[in-house]
Amino acid sequence: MLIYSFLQEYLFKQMHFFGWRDCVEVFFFSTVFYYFSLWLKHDNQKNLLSYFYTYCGITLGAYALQLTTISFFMVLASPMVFVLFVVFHQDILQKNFVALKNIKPAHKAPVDWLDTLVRVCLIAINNNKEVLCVIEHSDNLDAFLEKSYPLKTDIDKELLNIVMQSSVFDQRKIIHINTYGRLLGINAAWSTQLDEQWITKEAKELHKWQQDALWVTSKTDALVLKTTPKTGSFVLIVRGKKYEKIKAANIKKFVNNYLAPTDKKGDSTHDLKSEKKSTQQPNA
Amino acid sequence: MTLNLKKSLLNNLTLKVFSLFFAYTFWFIFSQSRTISVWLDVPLSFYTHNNNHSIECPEKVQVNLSGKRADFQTLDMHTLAAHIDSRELSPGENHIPLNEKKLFLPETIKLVNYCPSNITITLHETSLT
Repeated sequence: MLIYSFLQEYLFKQMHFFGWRDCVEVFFFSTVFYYFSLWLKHDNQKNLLSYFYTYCGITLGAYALQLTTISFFMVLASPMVFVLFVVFHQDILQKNFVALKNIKPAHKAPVDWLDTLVRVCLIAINNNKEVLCVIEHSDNLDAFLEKSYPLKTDIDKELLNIVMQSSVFDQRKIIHINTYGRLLGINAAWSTQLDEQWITKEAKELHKWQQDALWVTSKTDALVLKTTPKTGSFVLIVRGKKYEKIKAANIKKFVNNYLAPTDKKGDSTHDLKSEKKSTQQPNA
Repeated sequence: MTLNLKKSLLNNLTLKVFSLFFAYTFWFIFSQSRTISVWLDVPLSFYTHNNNHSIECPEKVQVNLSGKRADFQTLDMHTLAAHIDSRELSPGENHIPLNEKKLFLPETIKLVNYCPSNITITLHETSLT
C-alpha cells in the first residue's frame, strides 16, 4: 500500500514535468540501449550482455546508495568500457584477429579429398539421402558450430561411408570438414543467432539451413554444400550467395575455383560468376 | 500489419523492457541538473479573509516556472497556489502582481511568466444582516 501511494505520488509529479521532449529523449536512449544490447547478445562466446547489465546495475546502485566516488568513476569510465565491449565482441574479433584464423597444417592434405567427398555425396544421392556439408577454409568455424561428434581425421571414402551408414548420423545436421581434407565433426548444428536486420524478405522464405548458411558464408570464407536427391544435383552456398542445381561434374570445378590459392578473395568470384551464368542459377 | 507490429513489439521483449528501464533511469539521473521550464495551473488562495467581503477573481492562473528538475521534484504540487493577503485588497478592482513569494516557491525555482498577466481581483463589500 505504501509502495502504491508512493508510486501514485511519483507518477503524479512526473506527469507535470514530463513533456514530449523528455519522451523523445527517453525513446532515443532506449533505442540506443536496445540495439547495443541486441548486438552484445549476438556474441555466443562471451556473455557480454550480462557484463553490460552488471555494469549498468553497479552504476545505478552506486548512485542510489550515494556512493558518489564509485558512481563518478563508473560514469567516467563508461567510454572506455564501451570501447572494450566493442573490441571484445565476437563479430569484431572474428574479422580482425589472427587467432581465429586457421593455421595451415604441416602435413599434406589428401589430394583427392574433394573427389572423395563428391563420390560419397553421389552415393548418398543414390540412396535418397541428404548430405549437408560445411567446408571450412581459412576462417575458423568452431564458434559457429556445435558438434555432437567432434573429429579430426583425414577424409577417407570408407570412413565417410561408415559415418553415413551409421545410426547416429543425422542427415539433417552438418558434416564439418576443412579445405585441408580433414573431417572435423559430424551431426553439427549452427550455433548462430541470425541478425534480424540481415534477413531479407527473400531470405526469410528460405529453409533455416539456407538462412544460416547464407549468413555464415557472408561472414566467413566457408562453403556450404548440400545434396538434393530429388534433382540429383548440389546446392552450393558461398560468400552469401546460393548456386543451385549444380551437377556433380561441375561441383569440383566450382569449389576449386573458389579455393584457388593464387586468387584473392575477390578474384575467384569472377570465375564463380561466369559459371553461374552458364548454369543460370538464381541468387538467394 | 497488426500482427507484424505485435510480433516486432514482443520480440526480445525482455531486452526492450530492460533497455527502457536503464534508459529512463540514466536519463533521470543526468536530467536532474538540467534547467527546465514548465507551465502549471495554480489556484488563487486568499488568507486573512474578512467575512464582510466577497471576492471575485479567476479560479486559477497559469504560471511558468523555471528551475532544475531536481528542485521541481521537491515541490509539493498539491499545495502549490498563489497566496494573496486579503488585507492588501481594497474595495473594487485590484490588479495584483504575482511573484515567487506569493507562490511560496523555493529560491531555486523562478517564476518566469504568468497568464493572465493582469490578474484582476474584485472585492465586494457584503452587508451583514
